[in-house]
Amino acid sequence: MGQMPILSCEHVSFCYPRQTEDAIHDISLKIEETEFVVLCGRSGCGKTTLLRHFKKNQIPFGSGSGQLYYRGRDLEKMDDRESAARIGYVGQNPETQLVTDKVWHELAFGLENLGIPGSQIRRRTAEIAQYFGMESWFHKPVTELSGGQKQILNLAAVVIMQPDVLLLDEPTAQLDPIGTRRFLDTLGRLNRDLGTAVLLSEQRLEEVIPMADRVLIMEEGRLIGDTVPEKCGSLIEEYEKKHGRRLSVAPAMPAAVKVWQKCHDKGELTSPVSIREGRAWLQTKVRNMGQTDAAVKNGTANNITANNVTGSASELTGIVAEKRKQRQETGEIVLQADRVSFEYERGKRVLEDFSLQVPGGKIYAVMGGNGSGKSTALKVLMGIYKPRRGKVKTKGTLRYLAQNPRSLFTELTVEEELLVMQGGQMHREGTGQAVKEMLHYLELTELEAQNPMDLSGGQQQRLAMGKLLMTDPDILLLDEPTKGLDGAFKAKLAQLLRDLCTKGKTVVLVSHDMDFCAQYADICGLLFDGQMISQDDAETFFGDNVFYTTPASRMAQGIIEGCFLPEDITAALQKAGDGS
Amino acid sequence: MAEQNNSEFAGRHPIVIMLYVLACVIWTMITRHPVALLVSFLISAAYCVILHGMKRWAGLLAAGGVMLFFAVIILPFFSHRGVTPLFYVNGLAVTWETVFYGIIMTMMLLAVLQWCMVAGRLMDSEKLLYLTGKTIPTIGLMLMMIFRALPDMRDRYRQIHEAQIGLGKAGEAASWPGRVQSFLKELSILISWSLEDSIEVSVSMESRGYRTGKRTWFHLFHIRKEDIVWCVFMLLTFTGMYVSQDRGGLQAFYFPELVFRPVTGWNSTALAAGALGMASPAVYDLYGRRNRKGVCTQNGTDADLIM
Repeated sequence: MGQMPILSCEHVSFCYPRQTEDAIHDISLKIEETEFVVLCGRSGCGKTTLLRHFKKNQIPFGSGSGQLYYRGRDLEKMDDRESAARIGYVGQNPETQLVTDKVWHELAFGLENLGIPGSQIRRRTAEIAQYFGMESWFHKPVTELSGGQKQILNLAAVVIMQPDVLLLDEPTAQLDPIGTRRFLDTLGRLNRDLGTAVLLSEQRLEEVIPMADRVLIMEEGRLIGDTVPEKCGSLIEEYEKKHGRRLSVAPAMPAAVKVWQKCHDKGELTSPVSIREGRAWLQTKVRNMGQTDAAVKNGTANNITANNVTGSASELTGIVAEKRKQRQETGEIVLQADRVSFEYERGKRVLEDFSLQVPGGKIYAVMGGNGSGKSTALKVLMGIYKPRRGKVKTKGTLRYLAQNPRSLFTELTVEEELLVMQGGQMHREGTGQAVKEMLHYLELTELEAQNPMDLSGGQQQRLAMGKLLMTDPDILLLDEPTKGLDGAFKAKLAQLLRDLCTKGKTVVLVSHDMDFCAQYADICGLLFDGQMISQDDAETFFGDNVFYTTPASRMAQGIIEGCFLPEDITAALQKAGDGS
Repeated sequence: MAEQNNSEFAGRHPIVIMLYVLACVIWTMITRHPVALLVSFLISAAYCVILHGMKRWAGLLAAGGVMLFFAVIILPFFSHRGVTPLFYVNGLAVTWETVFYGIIMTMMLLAVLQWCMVAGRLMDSEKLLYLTGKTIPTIGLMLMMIFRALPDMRDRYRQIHEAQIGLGKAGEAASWPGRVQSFLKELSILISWSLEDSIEVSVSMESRGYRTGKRTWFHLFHIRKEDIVWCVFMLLTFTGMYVSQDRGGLQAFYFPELVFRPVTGWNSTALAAGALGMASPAVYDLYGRRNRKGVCTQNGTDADLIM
């Protein structure tokens, strides 16, 4: 019995009602005792459906086949109490999993349900609060917590029931980078300290893959890979070679894996995974390159070689510089804030001497930590809040997209959502035409009759954007537009924004997503302590920062300069390779 | 354990607080004797000022002024009971008894309101939940979820409203009928959003074993010796007052003429004891506040040193 896996399934398929295709198809897997397993795949590939199958009360409604086991016993026949205590589930949305009004009560909730006496609950809540470092907010109402704290509370409220295995469905999708890191650290510690097995589904893989013992890769409802993190790179490569198409999970892989895929030597099967391993790998790579190169030249000294590569990198920097020049050709300033101050309560300044100039036709990204006032700044620019001091000047109409697209949808169908923006003249032909065009532009034509609430996150985001665009604004203010989106949707969003810019519109966005900003924004600014600290084109911005920068930049710093995306590193390496 | 609160007494066990508040409110509501009501009014007013400050109490008094206007000026023109006419309007007497009754009733209403304000500061959601959860767990759980849902909904409404302004559909830019329309829209978004979230909440409840068997009700309160002392003290002080009330010791008639039983002898002792019971939490608070002030200034100097 000892070798029995905690969770396992054999040939599980599942189809939602009124769907023709299986959401998950013929899946067999095992989760062993104390294992940390990451389940990855793009959104809509069936990750959630699969995860839910392992929690008895959450198995979705529809037609399924196959067998599910908990420690070798039929999972579907498990006792409800046992299932509640032994298998913990944490979902994506931090808000909707909290049941009670106080932190301590939330912790106690599961134990109350199991009928555990008060004295024991008291001890266990104290213990858990201690372990998760929540003493200072133990008595707080849950509504006062940040998103990251809420999600840690959700985790704690499940862990307090002492489960053997935790199922987590994209738990960090709604969190900012700091909240994400804190959550994952806690999760990793749980796994190390208590040996709780973890099955974690994720889209952003930079941080989670290095933590994992094993990685499961899903594509369109099928499990196509089950391997250790170091072999993900070669597995994806093999798959892509075999099937002749790009695997949708590939762009989400950690920077080190992506660089390795493009530049590894033949026969090299394991890839670096974390930034640290990536740096070590890159260093060796550069040194080796240098040796062959140096052998041709004069056969001495390793350091020159690094220079050599840096030289090719600087060539690359040349190309980048040209691009930058193009980007820097600024148009006239269309949105300007001049020494704006704002506070919600007396004495609690959120913005202080906040100034910014946004040139027309550009994508401007405001970045900054949690609670730095980014969203507030956007609302002040929009005029939702009136500044206490200072002025906001705009040229043209402004529209603002709130963080949660749900707050915009009023109608029953996607089409009506857009129609209603035309002032309610629902049946005029001209307006109908404009809506059709917009639907086509947003690639939502097939979904026009659906309820907006049933769309996926990315689709909702696009529809919300469509609503804004129907009013034909000159300047778009977007609050965290990439929250919860996967790589493919992000690329589409970026395309859309770029498109708008070429049409002369201006985009100001607030985001935590460094990769997105590095790749697509023209100008980036850092908001700190209520002020814009630095404001530069994306390349300079990320090139100059050491900590607040992209993973690729951290990986290459000091080895190859001027890289802030995996593509930059591969380009530099390939160039150097060609040169030698 | 209690939240940041300016009341020491609020830190006592919920049962003590419930006992105190109920004893005060119920007694104020059943007694009709002007002296007894005056005692209750004065003590509750003092405690109200201690807990809420002069400003909020003055606000309550202003509301009392309106009540007084109706009870003393308007009502006597329509009610003509009583035997001591002050003057005649259209041949109908405006009597002293009605006017006096109006004054006393206003005082009673104000006293009850003041006790409610005091209760509002002494009780919080946690204590209320403890009390309901102990007796009727399902209601307790429901209340708890409501306490959680209300601030959530307020926050969601703000998000929705801001999003609609962002669309150019609400706010100052919109016309008046447009604003009404957008308000209705916002409300409908709020409802559908909240309903959808509540489904997820129920899944989360079930995932953590809700409805799999008998529940326990956990709380962080425990009874200390001091709480027992308080309970005994209150029983002692309030019992006499209630007994005296029940025996007719505090009888009062307003119609047809004013007849009040004089408060003497054993009745006056009972009333004094009751007054002591009512006032002691207020004194306790003042005493506790003085002690705490000492601690605060000490902390202040510490902070100064660090600076």
